[in-house]
Amino acid sequence: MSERQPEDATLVARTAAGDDEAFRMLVERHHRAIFRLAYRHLGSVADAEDVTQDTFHRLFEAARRYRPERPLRAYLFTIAARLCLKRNKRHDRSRTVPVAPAAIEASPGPSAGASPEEALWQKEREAAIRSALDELPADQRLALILLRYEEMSGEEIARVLDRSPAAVHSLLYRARGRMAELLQAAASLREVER
Amino acid sequence: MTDACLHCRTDLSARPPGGVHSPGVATHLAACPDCRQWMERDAAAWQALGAIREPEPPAGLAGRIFERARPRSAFRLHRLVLGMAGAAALAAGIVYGVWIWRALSTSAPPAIHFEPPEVAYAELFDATPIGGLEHPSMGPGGRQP
Ligand SMILES: [Zn+2]
Repeated sequence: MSERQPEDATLVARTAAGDDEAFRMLVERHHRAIFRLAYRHLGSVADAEDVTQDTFHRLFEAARRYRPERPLRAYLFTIAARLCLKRNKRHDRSRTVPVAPAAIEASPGPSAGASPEEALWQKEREAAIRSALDELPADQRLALILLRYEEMSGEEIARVLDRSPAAVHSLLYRARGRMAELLQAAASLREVER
Repeated sequence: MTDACLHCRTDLSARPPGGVHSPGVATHLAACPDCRQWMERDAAAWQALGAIREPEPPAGLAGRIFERARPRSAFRLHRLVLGMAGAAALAAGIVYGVWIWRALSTSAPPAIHFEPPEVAYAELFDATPIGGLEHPSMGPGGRQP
């Protein structure tokens, strides 16, 4: 049997009291989930790392104000989501090149055991999906990522995005409709190319 | 597309595909081929989204997060020490000023209001800018890993 790990709330309280080891455990426990969310939303390893660092930095600074009745993971997702949206606003203003090449470059390597052809196909497919995701407005993309990959409910997403559940349902409807259109268009294009 | 279609699709969009539909949605789907087609395309897109592999954080990220947060605690300690030294210097200056003033004046000195160093000490912590964690609408019910 594995040793019982301290609860998040205990670790945050210890962090507030200056216990570095407690903070280190919180980082170990949650940084992957925060990085994944940021990477899926921003499509850049460097940006996702920045958001992840900033999220934990804010936790560290505000540890003594944490209220344990709120799950820490929801707190962290809320902070990270807002940082992602803020960063996206800056990017949208400065974006001049299409996203797909960067997405291909930044996407993880092929699965172990895949043939070169399979690996290429997998990479192309991922790049097409990544590209379609990047076509969505930032808030729609974030809502869809939280639903699809983090398995959050509409109500939980509403809390993270600080919107009403009805507004989130509307975001999800537009996001899913657009994704279906874009992916169908990409699939048709591939059929034509073959 | 009718209002009923919009209602049906919005309802379908709020959850993963393949679940149990509410009676209203099920009735509409049975009667509306457009929405059935929309649902099929949505299910295909949902599945396609699963083809993106889980991104792994770059090596050493946890350590960098830790190192970025920690210097702030050292910095705060540094500011605390400086603040206390400043408060002590201010107190000494005021005492010295009062002494000089008393020595030069024959009349009774007016009452002096002096903030004790403890006040400066407390303000130093409360003035530390903290942002981002408080979220008034966040209640219990978020998912724990
Ligand atoms: Zn319909």
